[in-house]
Amino acid sequence: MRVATQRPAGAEAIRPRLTFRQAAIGRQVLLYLLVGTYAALVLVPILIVLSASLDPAGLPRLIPQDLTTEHYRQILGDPKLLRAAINSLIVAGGSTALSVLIAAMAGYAFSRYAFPGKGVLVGVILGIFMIPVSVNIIPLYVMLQRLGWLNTYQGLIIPYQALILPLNVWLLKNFFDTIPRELEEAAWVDGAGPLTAFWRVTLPLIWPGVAVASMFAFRFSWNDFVFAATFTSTSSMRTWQAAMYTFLGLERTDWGPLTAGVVIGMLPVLVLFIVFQRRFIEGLTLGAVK
Amino acid sequence: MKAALQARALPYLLILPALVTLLFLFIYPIVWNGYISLHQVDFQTYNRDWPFVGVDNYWALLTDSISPFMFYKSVLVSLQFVGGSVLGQFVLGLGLALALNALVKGRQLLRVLIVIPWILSELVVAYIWLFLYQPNGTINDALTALGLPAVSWLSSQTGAIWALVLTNIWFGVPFTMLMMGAALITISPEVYEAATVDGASGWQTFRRIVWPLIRPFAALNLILTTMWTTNLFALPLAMTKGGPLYATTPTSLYMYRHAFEFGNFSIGSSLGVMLFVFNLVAAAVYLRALRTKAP
Repeated sequence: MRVATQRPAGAEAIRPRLTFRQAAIGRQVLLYLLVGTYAALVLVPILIVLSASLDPAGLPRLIPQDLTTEHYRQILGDPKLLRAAINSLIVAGGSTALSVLIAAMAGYAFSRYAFPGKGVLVGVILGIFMIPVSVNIIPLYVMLQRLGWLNTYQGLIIPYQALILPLNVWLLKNFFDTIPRELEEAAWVDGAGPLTAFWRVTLPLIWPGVAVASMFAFRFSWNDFVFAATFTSTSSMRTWQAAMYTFLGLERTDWGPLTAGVVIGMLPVLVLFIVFQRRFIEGLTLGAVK
Repeated sequence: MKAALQARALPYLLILPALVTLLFLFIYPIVWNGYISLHQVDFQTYNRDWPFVGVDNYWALLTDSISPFMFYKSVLVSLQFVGGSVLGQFVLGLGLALALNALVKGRQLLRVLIVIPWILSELVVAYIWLFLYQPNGTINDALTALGLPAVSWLSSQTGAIWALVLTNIWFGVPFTMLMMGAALITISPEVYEAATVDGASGWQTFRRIVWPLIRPFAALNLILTTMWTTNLFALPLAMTKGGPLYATTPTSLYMYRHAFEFGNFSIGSSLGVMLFVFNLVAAAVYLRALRTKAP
C-alpha cells in the first residue's frame, strides 16, 4: 500500500488498491462461512429434535416425510402432563408478578432517593447475585420442609426469587434512571400526591422496563427443573420441566413424545426471545458487564 | 414532622421486601448449611434430634472415608468439566465475537441465532444432546456416513465427561460471545484504522492492540464462567445422573446426590459449604478484577 501511494497516479497505482479490496472481500466471505457454520451447529440440533417430534416413529429426518401431531396430542392428552403445563404457567406467572413488583419498588427507591446506607444496600443486593443458589439447595429443602412449603406453589415461587430478584432490581433501577425526575415533580406541582404522580406519570413510562423484567423472571422460572424436581413430590405439583425429568425421562426410549415435550419446553421462552431479541440480549449481558 | 419522618422512611420501606426475600434465600440458608454440616443429619436422624458431630463430616470427606468414596474423584471430574467447558467456551466465544465484530452486514441476525442455546433450559439442552448422542443417533449416523467409527458417547467411563463438556460448551458459548462482544464495542474504530494504516496484520492488531484492551473483560468472563460451571450440576444430572458409575459426577452433583439420592444431608451440606467457600474466593478475585478494570 505504501509503495503504491508513493508512485505517480496511473494505471499501476490502481492495481494494489483492487487487491486490497479483494482481500477484504475474501476475508468477509471467510468470516461469513465460519460464523455461518457455527450458527448451523446451533440450529441443526434444534431442528433435528423438532423434526423427530413430528415424525411418526420419532426418528430424526432432516427432510420430514409424513408429518404428524400425534406425539403432541399424546403428551398433552396425558392428564399428568397437562397438569404439569398448567403448573408451570401458574408458578412462572406468580413468580414473575412477585419479582417485578418487589424489584420495581426497590429499583425505584435506589433510583430516586439518596439515603444513608444506600451504597451498602446496593452492594448487598448485587453481591448476593454472585452467590450461587445451587450450593444452598440442601438447606433450602430443609427450610421449605419446616415451613410446610414442600410440594406447594409458594415453595417454588419464593425460591425462584433468588434467581431473578438481583438482576431485576438492577434492571429496573436503570430503567427508572432514564425517566427524568422533573416529570414527576411537575405532576406534584400540579397538585398530585407522590403516589398519584407515580401511578399517572412514571408507571406508563416504565412499562418497557416492566416488560423486560417480566421476560427474565418468566424465563428463569419456566426453565428451572432442579428446584421443581427436588421441592415437589407428587405428579399434581410437577412443573413441565420437572415432569419431563421425572416421568418421560425415566425410560428415555420413546423419543417421539419425548422430543415433543422438549419442543413444548423450549417454545414459550424461544418465542419471547425472538420477539424481544435486542432487549433480551442487552439485559442478559447487563449483569456481567456493568 | 410525622410527614417528614415518613418521607425519610419511604426508601427503606420500598427496599424492604426485596431485601428480606434475598436475606431469607441467601444468608439464612448459608447459616443452615453450616449447621447441618456440623451435625449428623441423615435418613435415620432426620425427624429426630440431630447429634452434634463437629467437623467429622468434613474429615470424612477429606479422608475420602464416606461411601461411595468418590470425593477426590468428583474433584477430578469437576476439574475436567470446568476446565474443558471454560476453555472451549472462551476460545469459541471470543473467536465468534471477533468475527461478528468484523462483519459488515447481517451481524444482528447471526448473533440472535448463535445466542439461542443460552436461553434454553438445562433440561431441554440435556435432552437435545441425549437424543443426538444415542448409540444410533444423529451424531453416530453422521460419523458412520463419513466412514468413521461410531462412538459410545455417554456410556464410556473416560469419554462421557467430554461429551458433557461438548454440550456445555454449546450451551455456554453465547454468554462469552456477548460479553466479549460488549468489550470489543468499547474499542473505538480509530484504533483499528490506525493499526491498518500502519500496516499491521490481523494477528498483530489483535495481539498488540485489541487483546490488551479487552484483557480485563476476559479475566472477568473467565472467573464468572468458572464459578457458574463449578456450581452447574443440572446438566450432568439430566443427562447421565452422574454415571456411568461416578464418571460424570462433579463435586456439585456429588453434593446433590449425597442429600437427595443417598439421604445423607450432613455430608451434602459439608460439600455445599466447601463449594460456597470456593465461590467466595472466586467472587473476591472477580471484584478485584472489576476494580482494576475501572479507569
